[in-house]
Amino acid sequence: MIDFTQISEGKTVVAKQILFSEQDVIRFLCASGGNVGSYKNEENMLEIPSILMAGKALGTMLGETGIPKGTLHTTQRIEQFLRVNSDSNLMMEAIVTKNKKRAGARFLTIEIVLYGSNGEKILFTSSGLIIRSEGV
Amino acid sequence: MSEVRKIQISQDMVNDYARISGDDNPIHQDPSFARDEGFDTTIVHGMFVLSLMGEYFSVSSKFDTQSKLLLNARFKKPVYVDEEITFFIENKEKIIAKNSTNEICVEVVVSNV
Repeated sequence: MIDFTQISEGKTVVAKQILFSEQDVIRFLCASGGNVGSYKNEENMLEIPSILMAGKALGTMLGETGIPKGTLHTTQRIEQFLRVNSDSNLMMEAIVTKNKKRAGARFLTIEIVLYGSNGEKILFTSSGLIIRSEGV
Repeated sequence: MSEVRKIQISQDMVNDYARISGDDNPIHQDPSFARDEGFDTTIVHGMFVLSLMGEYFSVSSKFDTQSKLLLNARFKKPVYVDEEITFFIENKEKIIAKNSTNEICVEVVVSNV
């Protein structure tokens, strides 16, 4: 569990591989009402939706950092650079780029980049989060 | 601005999204925790609302591999589980979700740059 009161801006808080399985994609599309056919490419491979990449990366970051329960999510930016087929392992790096305390709450911006197996940048995503109470 | 969809997001749908994404914050799954945090009941993950809006900006399916997708979302108000929300296309790049009291909950701007 990370103590965000002690984390300086620019610090990497999570670096790990995430598997985006075909089953993840199918479950995500079923849950969100997406059309599986829309994500099949010319090779009949199922591509990973960008919101799934960003959402699973965010969920992984929240779990790995142990960010306080009740934290609010206020903004999300997603930039996808390359398409990726499902059943891919992507390397994720999460960096705290803003960490400010104001009026008793902590305002964080956490940027996550997903890289492919050759180090190519697949997706950038940035989340604005508010830890409303740090219990201190 | 055209209305494109009304939807109520159930707790089961939210629980499914929590399992898929790994975001198991109890604010989304435990009504008593959510109430202790000052909400009426559990709130839907912002990213899940975004994914439900996805068919209107077809995030992956319509963007050219040579171009870059850019999406900016603002989660302005909580979306409660079982609350009816309505999606509107404001223009070709902007989609919004409004709650039952006509407040904007989520605002998304999407572009290919």
